Amino acid sequence: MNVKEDSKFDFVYILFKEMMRYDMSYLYHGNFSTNLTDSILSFSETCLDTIGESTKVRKKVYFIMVESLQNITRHEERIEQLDADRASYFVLQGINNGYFITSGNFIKNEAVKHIKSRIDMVNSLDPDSLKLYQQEVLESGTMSDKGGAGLGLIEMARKSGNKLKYEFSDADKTHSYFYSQIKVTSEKDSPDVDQKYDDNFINAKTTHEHLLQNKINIVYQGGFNNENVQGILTMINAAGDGNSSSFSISDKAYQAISELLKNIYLHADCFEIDADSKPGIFMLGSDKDSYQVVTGNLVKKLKSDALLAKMKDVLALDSKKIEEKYKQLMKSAAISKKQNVGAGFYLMSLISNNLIDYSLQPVSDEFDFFTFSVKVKAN
Amino acid sequence: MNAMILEATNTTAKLVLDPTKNIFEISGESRPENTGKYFNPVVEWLNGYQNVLYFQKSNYGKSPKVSFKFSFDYFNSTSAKYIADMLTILEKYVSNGYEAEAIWVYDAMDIDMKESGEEFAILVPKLPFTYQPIND
Repeated sequence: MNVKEDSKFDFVYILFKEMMRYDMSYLYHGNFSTNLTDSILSFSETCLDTIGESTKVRKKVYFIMVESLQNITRHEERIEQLDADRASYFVLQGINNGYFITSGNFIKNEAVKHIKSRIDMVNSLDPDSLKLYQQEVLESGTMSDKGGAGLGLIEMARKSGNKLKYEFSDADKTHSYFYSQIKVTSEKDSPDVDQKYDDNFINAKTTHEHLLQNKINIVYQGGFNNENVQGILTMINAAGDGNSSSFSISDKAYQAISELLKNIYLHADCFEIDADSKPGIFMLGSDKDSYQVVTGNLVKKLKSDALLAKMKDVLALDSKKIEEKYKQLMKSAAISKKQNVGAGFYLMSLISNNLIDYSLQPVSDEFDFFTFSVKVKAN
Repeated sequence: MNAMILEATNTTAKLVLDPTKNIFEISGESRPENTGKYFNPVVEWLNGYQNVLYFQKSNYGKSPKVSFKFSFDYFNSTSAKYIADMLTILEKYVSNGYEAEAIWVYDAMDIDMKESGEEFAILVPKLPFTYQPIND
């Protein structure tokens, strides 16, 4: 295994920095099953709970997430042979004055004109006209063959009180990629802050490019604590479930993921003292025959040398020595009844046949950013 | 007419249409994958129930009052269309001389849900509509 001080993990730090302005970000690129939709919804509820959001705003976010996710699954069914590049995209990002919900999916070119005119129409209406328009559709509207009545758009606009941003980009001769974003403003809104996030739509699209380039399916950035780590694990399980899923998770990969997530909330440092949850980033990607799990978190510079020494030790040992060392560490942890700091790295090496890697980047005088990656063969 | 009872799932509401006990209620969360599959039979049942009301009224001079409880935690936009359809049928009961009403049950904290009810009520002016807040 090579230890290089090069830029292979730059994108992790770039994304982490990029997302630092959000309280939390959750991104998914892949195919959507009902199970996945459900666990995304319940995971988001956990996140909003952690942030301490009001019931009113939570319900609005929930509503818009359901509509967005159902739009994705409705359109997804119509695209033949979904491969990795053709997959759909979903993003939830929380900032101090609201939530951005972004979705992306392929649609047939012939649908573009219709969707565009609908959105433009809804965007052009003031709240009172929207209300009247909704009444009209409820009274007379017929269901479209995809099950939508056009009510989704109207309700999204009404519930959020904001306009829907959208973009269509050419995908191939017959398809376009459709991005849309809507913001739910929470009660503590202020116009100054709003302007600062004006580039958020472009951001969400650029981030999607990063995910595609690096073959990443899931990203979570935000606070890590015992509760939401459970949520992430449930979601990963659901993402790997069902025929149409982008990947299926082996036991080994699952074990690696749980270890790494635990590592963040047990050992990561943060800018604030005594924070309930630790800031970090988690990514899961999949290739033809392997998964890559990447985590990134802050480490106090005081601890960096020890961490580097440990990483070098793990990478230098052969698998037999790693196993011995791991058993030894577990044994002494059992005797001392203390958290077995660092044993996780040896375990990770065992699980992956030493396909681990890391980088340490300076953040400030006090902190470094530690990226750790592990590759696990699919079965 | 047989009762129609559907247990709640993650994505569909609990439904009780029980003429024997005179209970009519839909409750919980409604965001079915296929909204029509859930709601079309409900709409059909309600349409069919008019025959029962007719039979009772012509034989006993009076049909039992249909008090339909709508108590949603959440419903998606396509469910809204079907809720409007159900209310329209209930309004038709009233127009045809049967007793019917809608009871809109909502979480007292959830003002948006109350407003949804009020907006539905505008669609069915002949149907008596009452609101019932619930405190946790």
